[in-house]
Amino acid sequence: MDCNKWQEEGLLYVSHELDAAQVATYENHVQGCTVCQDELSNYLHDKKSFFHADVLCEAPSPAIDDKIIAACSRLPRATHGAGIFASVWFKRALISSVFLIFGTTAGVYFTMNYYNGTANPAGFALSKASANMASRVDLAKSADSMQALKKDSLIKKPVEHFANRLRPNPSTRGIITVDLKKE
Amino acid sequence: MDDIIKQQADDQKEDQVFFDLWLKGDQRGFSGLYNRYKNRVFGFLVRMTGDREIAEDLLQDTFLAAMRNANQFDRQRNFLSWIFGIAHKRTIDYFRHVKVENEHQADTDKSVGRGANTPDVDFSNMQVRGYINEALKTLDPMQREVFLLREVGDVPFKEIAQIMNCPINTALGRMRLALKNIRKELKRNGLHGL
Repeated sequence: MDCNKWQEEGLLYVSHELDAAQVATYENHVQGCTVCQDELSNYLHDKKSFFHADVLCEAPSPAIDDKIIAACSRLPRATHGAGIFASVWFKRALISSVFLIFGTTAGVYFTMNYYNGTANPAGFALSKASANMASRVDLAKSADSMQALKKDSLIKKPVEHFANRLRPNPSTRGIITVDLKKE
Repeated sequence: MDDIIKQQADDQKEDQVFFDLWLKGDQRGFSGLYNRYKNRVFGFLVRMTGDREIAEDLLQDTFLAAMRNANQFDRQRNFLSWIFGIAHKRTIDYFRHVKVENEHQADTDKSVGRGANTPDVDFSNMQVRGYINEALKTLDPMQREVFLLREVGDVPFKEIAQIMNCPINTALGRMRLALKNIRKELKRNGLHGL
């Protein structure tokens, strides 16, 4: 037969980790539970007979005692007065924050350039290409070479044509030059 | 039971006095704490590693780490629990890096229980110590850790759970099994019920 109370409360009772109300409840339980009575008495007997300092403790050699006392007796590296700034956790948090800020900034910068170059190329290409085309068309009109220019498929080509052919370059910050002569 | 609680509170106050002296650079502070707890911590380390020399190195590491991290010590906490937490971590790090778990299983009895510095210890205690060491060797490592932290270090279960990073019920379950297995071994050797 087994009683869960021993594991749940009996061990805590012996190690004085129960509050007053829990102690009273457990003591009441023990009075009516033979399993807990046996467990408790066996444990207390073992503690007294076997689990004590003479059996469980060991003494290190005097040489190591002297070595440790000499090494550790000086002032600890940081005292309580140093506060939070001396703690290892503060330093770790500081380093993590710096990496987080730089990482986020770099991420945002490259993401924006990427979007400028690829996700919305048509907008940039449109503005640049349409401006160039307009000037080209004006020149063609004024130079009476409209006919020749019409033959050129450049005007009929959609703007996406440029977008598909152009490769984004982050260093241009989204400004894409289109050489219409080649087209 | 009230006497035991009162005694624990008094011990904690004395620890605080020694700790304050230590922080002020007074040699009596550290030597007071060290002399009070060295045998318990060393007993724990010897039984965990099974080798006195390794245990001595870990003892030194433990107290040096305590010195380096003295500013992190929570004054509401028991010094003994804190130092056992450090000793436990050092032991786990040792096993993790050196990987001598198999060796320490086999060599435990060659060094444990020698009692080199306790010549006045009587024979019965030496015998009991030998049986206890034998019984501890049969335990699962997790059960042994909980048992040693509780019985050698007097660490509360709440803090054992924190040290071992497990729920308190797991720690209690391991302790229950450890006691059951030790009792079985002691009974086998005709010791239980003396």
